[in-house]
Amino acid sequence: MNPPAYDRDLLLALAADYADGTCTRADAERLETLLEADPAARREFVNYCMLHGQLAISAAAVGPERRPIPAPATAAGGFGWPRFGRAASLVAGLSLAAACLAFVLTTSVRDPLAVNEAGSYDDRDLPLVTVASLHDGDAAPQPLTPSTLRPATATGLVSASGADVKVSKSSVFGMTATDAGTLYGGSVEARLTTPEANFSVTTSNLRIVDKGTAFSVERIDDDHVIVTVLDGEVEVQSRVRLPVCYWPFDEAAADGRQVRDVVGGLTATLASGATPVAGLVGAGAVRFDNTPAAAATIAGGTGDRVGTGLLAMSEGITIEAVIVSEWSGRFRAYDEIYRKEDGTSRVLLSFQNDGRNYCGYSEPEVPEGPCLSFGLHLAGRGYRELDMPLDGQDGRPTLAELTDGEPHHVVAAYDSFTGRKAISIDGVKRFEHAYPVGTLILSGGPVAATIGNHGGREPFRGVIDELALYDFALTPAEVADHWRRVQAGENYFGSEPPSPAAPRWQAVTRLVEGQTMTFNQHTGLPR
Amino acid sequence: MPRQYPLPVEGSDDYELFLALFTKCQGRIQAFIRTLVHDPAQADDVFQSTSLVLWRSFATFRRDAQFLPWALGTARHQVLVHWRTQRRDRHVFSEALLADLADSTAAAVETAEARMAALEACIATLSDRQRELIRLFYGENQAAGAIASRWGRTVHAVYKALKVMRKALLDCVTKKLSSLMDSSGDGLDGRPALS
Repeated sequence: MNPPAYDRDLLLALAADYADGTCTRADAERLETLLEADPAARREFVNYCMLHGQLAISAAAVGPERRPIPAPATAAGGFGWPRFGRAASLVAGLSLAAACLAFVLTTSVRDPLAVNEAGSYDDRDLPLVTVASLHDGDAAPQPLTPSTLRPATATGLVSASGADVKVSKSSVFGMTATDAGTLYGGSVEARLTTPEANFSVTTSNLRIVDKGTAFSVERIDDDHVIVTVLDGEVEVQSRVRLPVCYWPFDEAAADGRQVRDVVGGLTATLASGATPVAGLVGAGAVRFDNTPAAAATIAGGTGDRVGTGLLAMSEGITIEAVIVSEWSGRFRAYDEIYRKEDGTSRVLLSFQNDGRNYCGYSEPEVPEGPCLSFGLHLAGRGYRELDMPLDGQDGRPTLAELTDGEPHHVVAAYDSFTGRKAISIDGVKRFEHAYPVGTLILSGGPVAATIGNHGGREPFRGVIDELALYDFALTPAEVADHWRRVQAGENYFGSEPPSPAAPRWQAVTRLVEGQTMTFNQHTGLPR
Repeated sequence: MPRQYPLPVEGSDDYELFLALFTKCQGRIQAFIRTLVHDPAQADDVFQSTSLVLWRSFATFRRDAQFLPWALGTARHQVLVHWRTQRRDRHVFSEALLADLADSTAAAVETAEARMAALEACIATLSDRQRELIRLFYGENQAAGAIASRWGRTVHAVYKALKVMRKALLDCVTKKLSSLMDSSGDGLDGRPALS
């Protein structure tokens, strides 16, 4: 048999990526060029797609008791028709195989105008930022990505920003960024080795920023930390509990297509299926019409690696919105409120109904049915979704209640300081799950975030207003307060919205060498 | 106005013949359509329109010809009409390429049963790990990321394993089909061997 004129290895590699949905647009175009050029390539591509489809109905996939009855060989060595169950098993088998081929042939590759009601996940593990190098005895330093250390013995590391950090034994310390860590328990000491180095340690609502060369932070109980300056000077700051980004949608640009984030400065561009309308709170909101072009794409907030960029959240996150949802609740219908798809380090808040524990993401596992889903990648656990069933049980709303045409306040929050991941509706927590304290979020990276859609495939139907993103978890009291203000016709923050680029940390005091002070880590104030 | 042909009369010889031919080929016609029209509801619509056209134009069908190619020709036309009327940019491939792929799909559907049997035999030669991959990825519809977590591997490693496995299976299936064609001295179902 003569070798094919086309590059078979390349064809099969591209076909595999196309079948798995990991194909870039450039690769899809290369595949199209290959297929157009050679009929043999087309036949091989169809054979590959047929194989991909038939694997789904093979005995190895579905189990021997459900296997389609194979065609028996005839005496001449050819294939005849199976005699039993042909109408059912054969048509079902061919239809399944053909349906898989149909998926491959019609699936769109990162096409914002494509329509596909099936959920879609980018399963790539995008590169993580290296935040430090771990020094363990005489072994070579190991690069460290955002992760939580729980050392049995005192452990040293060097942050990417140039700080020597010593984590005492039995501590819980999260290295969250190149120049920052979060203390959950125990104590940590940071010593800057060069003038250019910098480092800060955060605990709940307190941040200690070096202004000199060496300091230590020790958590002494659930509420208090002791800060000691060993050398130089530090500034102790308390968190200003404002969002990283906030789109009230009250003002659109003259062309009506750009909406401004009034805190972080990120602009969202409305595609044709997203239309400015009267506000649920304030002057404006956006209606999404459930078409592929129903999307508001956020420009900026990205970074080159997971763990970088304004929209990279590590120790906590809140996604908050006021919505009027017209979601159908149908199987495999997805309505996104917010999504940032940095591969498996995705963040999403969406209405879903994709079967029981689709892809193994549900945590905890819930019965099949319509859900409001809050997805995060938690370090050491992988990507997991908190799927709140809309079943009306245990205080949860029903689908009918959430799609009753009235505005509803939706808050999804995760707090690494408590390990709690929760969904609140109309000011009340309705569903939650707990993780070990100190479990960090892996998020952020190069992919643009979207309000109201995901790749054109999962458009929202209804109105979204007052979308806010925070890098910490709102407390239950704050959630209730925000809902009360919404009901009073105000935005979350009272009558005055936060000003652009408002500082999110405010100085409490400075400490110099030799000074020690105890602080309440929740209020950020000295005890 | 489309040309109107006399419809087969129920109980007539033409009616019985159409029923017999259509029933025998219905599965393949459906498989062909569903290969090219992903949405099940839309595929059903195309199948219905195809069936109606076949029924209405049966008078033009030459009784000494093969029914399936004639029927697939009509189905192909209906599929292309469907894509043109949809006018959605939902697929990357051009319409011309889709038409060519439709032709290739028609040929592939002919050998689907033989391929399935060969595939089952080839799967039996895989390692336990590879069969587990089929069960998890295809049977349980688990994402590569979930499988990677389960196995303690990276997602890329899982996709690589899928690629390697599928290529091995494709080569195995092709080889088995070639052996059968060589031994039978003919193509499958009496057709010339495909290259």
